[in-house]
Amino acid sequence: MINNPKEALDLIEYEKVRRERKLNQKTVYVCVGTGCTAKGALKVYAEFERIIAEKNLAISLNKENDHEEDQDPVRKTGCCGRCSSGVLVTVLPWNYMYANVTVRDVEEIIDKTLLHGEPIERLMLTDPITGHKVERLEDADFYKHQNLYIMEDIGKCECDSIEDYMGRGGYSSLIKALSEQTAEGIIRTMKEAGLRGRGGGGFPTGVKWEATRKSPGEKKFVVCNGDEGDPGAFMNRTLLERDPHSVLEGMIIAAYAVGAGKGYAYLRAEYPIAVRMFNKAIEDARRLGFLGKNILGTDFSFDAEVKEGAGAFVCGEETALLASIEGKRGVPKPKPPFPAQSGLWGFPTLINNVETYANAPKILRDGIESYRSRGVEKTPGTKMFSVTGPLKLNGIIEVAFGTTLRQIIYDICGGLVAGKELKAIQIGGPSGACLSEEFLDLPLDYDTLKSVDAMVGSGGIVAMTTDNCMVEVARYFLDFTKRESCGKCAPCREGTYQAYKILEKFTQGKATYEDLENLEYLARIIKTASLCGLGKTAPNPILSTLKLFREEYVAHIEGKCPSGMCTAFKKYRINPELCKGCGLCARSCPQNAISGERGKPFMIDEEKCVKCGLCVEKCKFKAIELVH
Amino acid sequence: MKIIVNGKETIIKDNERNMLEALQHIGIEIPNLCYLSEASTFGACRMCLVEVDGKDVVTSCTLSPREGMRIRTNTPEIYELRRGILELILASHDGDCPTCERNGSCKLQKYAEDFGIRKNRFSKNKKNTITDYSSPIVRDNSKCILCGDCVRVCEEIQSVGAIDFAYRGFNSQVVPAFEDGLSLTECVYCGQCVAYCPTGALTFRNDLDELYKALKKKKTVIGMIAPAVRVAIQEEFGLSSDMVMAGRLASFLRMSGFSKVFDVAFAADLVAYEEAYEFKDRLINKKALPQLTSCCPGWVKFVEQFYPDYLENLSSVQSPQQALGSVIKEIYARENGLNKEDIYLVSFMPCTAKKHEAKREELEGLVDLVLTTRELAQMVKTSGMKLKNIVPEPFDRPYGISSQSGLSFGKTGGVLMSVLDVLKDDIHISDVVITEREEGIKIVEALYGEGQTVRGAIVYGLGNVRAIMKEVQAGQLNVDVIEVMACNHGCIGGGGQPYPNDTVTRKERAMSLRDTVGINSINSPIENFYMRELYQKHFGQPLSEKAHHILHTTYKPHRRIAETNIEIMPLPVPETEKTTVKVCLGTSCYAKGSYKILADLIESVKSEEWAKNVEVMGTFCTENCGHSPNVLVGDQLVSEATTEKVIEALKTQIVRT
Repeated sequence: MINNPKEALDLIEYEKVRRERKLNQKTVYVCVGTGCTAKGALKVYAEFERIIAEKNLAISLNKENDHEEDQDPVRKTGCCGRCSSGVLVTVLPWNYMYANVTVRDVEEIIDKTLLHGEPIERLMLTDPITGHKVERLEDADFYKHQNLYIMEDIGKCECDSIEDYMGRGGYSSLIKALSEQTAEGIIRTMKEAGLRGRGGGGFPTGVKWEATRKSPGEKKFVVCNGDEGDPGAFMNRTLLERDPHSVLEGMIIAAYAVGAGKGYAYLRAEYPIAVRMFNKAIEDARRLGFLGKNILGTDFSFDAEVKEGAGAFVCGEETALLASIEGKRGVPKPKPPFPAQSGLWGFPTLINNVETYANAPKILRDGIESYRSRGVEKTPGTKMFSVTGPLKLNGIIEVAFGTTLRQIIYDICGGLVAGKELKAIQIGGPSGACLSEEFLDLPLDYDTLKSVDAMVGSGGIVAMTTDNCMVEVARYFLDFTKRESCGKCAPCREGTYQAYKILEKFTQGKATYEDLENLEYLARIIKTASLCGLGKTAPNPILSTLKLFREEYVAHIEGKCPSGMCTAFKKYRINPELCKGCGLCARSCPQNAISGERGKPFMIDEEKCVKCGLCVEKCKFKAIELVH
Repeated sequence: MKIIVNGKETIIKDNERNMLEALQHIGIEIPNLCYLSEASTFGACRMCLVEVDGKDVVTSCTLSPREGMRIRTNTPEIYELRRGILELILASHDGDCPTCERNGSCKLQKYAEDFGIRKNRFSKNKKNTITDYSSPIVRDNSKCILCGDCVRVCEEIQSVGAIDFAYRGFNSQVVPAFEDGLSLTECVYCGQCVAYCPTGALTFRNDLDELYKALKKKKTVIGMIAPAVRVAIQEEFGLSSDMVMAGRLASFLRMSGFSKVFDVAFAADLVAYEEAYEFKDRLINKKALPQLTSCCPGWVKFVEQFYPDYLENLSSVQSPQQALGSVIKEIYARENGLNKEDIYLVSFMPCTAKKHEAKREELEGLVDLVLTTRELAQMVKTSGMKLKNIVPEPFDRPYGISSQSGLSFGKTGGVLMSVLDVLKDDIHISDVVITEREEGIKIVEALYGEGQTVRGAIVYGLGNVRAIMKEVQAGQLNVDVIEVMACNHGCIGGGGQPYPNDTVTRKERAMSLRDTVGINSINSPIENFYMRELYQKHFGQPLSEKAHHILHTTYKPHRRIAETNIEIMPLPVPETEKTTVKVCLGTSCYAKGSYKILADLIESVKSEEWAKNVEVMGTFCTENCGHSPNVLVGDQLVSEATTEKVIEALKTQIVRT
């Protein structure tokens, strides 16, 4: 337990030196982010351990390091972002990065690289555009075009170690804040830096902190919103898993700034690793004295705990989230009063997103200048995005605000995989919009996106191709929002359900022009009249697709799905010229929809056919064709 | 404060709660389906949208008025939005108006008519909803629009919390815990949810058919009418308050086949008289104070459930309905040579809980049927008779006259003031001072005897009572008697009264009752000579054995959740040979580790010789959640239990048997 700031600073200096030595010795860092773990990272890690133990390298390799536990040459690191290339392995001190590593590659990596510093070309990152192999992480276009700020130290940060975090300068901002800065000073710094909330709305963080500070209350709370629920978004999860202390430090600093004594990190229970990591971070911070009574011997006391969310999307809405922490049904309340005035149990409460908190200590540590040098005038700084879709590379990226979609899709992610053509980009999840290709050069920041009726949201980017039906995309998102509507206000509860029903008619080929009119009317009602942000943004997928891809809706009414995605419009036909009457298709049809006489052309019963396409695969004579 | 409404400068009060009320007060009724001035703002129906300063469209119920604000209440956009919301709600609403209890008084129906909705552009969707006929409160969720009024009234005004939202989105429903019927919950049947429900989702059980069956059987049907009925029924006919309504109703019932019609206010005098002496006894002997009045069946169930320690404080005198039932069945029948089984006694009440009271185990068989004001109004409507043209007739004797005090039972304060009235000369009560502490809570102070002070509280609304009881329990409030009426403003606001049944209407009824009381020439229950005669002929003195037999009742603690035991390790030995241990698996006990105790006990039973005749069971809620975990060893409750404590208790019990 550290009792004064001086001691804490000394410890940080010590950890910095220690970390520096670690980075300069022979070590393998295995990425254990969720993507890599899913691809077998833990097995790869175990294999490294096994072989190193077998070859007795554990001690011999780094024996000059007098810190015994630092001699271990295999370590786990947090998500490296390039999830589609997992399992990722970094080998220090050369900074080689290997992609798609399997258990079978481990021995070779140890023998060649770890023992002899010899790179293995086969495993190196491939530049998706040029096809060239890239030796080091920093040379890969994927990283070169990013602006790593809260994600720095990719490939070599140890996510579950408070010592490693301190070795990266962690907790120095808290120490500085407690020993040198006033609450007002910190708030001023946040304002001057221009930090804006990363939860989606982009509200100025400093203003929020100030409002909470100025709100009278016998007690105050800080809450971290980690209820990331957008389909296809996993930035918060990644951040919590790879660097939980940065978020925790941000929360403690915020608590000091607003005068809170207790904090809650509301994390999705579906993120077990994040929950475990954050709990460990809290435990470690408490052990060292960064949490608890009289932190670092000052008169500031603060403690934090994790509250696990039970999986309701609406609990990402702040008032619903607070209700959920209180043990109540997670439904939003009308604002005002805002949480800053009346939050948890009626006390002033600061609620910020995971990413917002992670930025705060970084700004205090690296200064306003460094922060403002990134991004655009009105929205400085960086934003994490999760990029998915049929792109050559996908995963987690961090870019400066103002970066364009084109840069993200083509420069960072290498463009689309062969044979696919970009049609739209969905940004902001179920609350967001589908943008067409013409918006590729739009700078990504809160205000610009808002001006085209889109939003940054939490930061999910999904690339869609000409194979995607935009009506189906809208239906998919409305299916999501209708299921996730809390049911409190009538426009969202009834409206999303009706909108879904209408969209279903479209994808089933049963829609009329009247349905199109009703859909537009309905979208307007839900947008204007709903109680909370989720309801108000729920029709965005409809509105944006209606605006930019209206012809697809019309085509559905006219009996055609331009992308060919909606099965209702598909029709399979057996070409009698080509059919040999073998009956293989009839035998493989799960619906018994195909019949005929051996040796003569077979027929498909359209009533029975569910358009699974199995017959097409089975037919050896290519006699079955798809008619749109 | 000056605001501009629809282009006109308008002055509103500075302290308006929100824009919706401010506009209401200047004569603009903004359509809404979830706003209750009596409860917190919910903001869910989204009907009350207004345009602010020419740009934002916001709900007026959540909008604080600001100087110079420009409000538009009726733009095409707002019309379109409100209409759209209505259509959406109607698309998933049952919509079978002709057979609905609320046909004609339903807010949703009214708006559908106001907006002229003839064709719904959205498709009709049937929701998967439940109906519940298990108690006097009938719930039909296919008519529910999820405005949450009932939830807030039950929780915020009544502090009962018997119902809440369950499920999400389109599948949301208001249900009691575990989706049980209301009869298995802590619901006290006060019917305030019924009073505030804008649609037919919450109604009371309509028992009119039972009356017609009895009349058909040519039984001796006797009726009795509560004070609060006569000041509200005219609302159903669009009539203004009528001082002789009781007489018209008595006349109507006789014309409809009732052989006698008595006045419940007579019984109120009787109850006041008996209860006054019960109070005197307790006051002088300083026992079981504060005395709690027991006229209100909702309140009685509330005490049984939430304050079982105060059961002896409840006055044991029956409510006027039951006391008169008792007198009619036990005394009147005999005096008139009737078989009490042949009498069919019907009481007309403002109250839904009275339907439950008449069926209570201790009281069953006294009052055969309880009908509400609305059911009586339906009877009148069916008969085709014009209420206003019916020539009033007096109630039948001997239970047909009442004092001002007895009539006042219909509204808050009536019971306690009657009790003091009765004792006025007996213990020399003087200098009565009534102060209103807050809305719904009055404190009465008076001198009695030789300069001693008697203090009482008059409370309505169970939420207010909970606050008062908390003070009583903590010793912060020192009163000798507490009058409680579960419904706001007393019985006149009962769940069986006509719609609207809101604060405004209740205040009007209170005025009407005040006038009805005022023209009564008998002041105090003591002057009610038929009532005195009852004592002379039958009871002798108040609190006599006979009076106890006929006029008093008993109470018992009530679990809030019906008993359910879960067999965990059934033991095939006779009941007499085994000792049972029931571990509470309710939320609170579970959270405090009851599963560990359960696991330990199972282990002990399996492996240890002494425990071979111990049967382990699970149970739900021992009503002692503050001291979880709870374990029942035999019938002994072990609170804040640990495995060691339970085993120790088990061993003692085994030795004893």
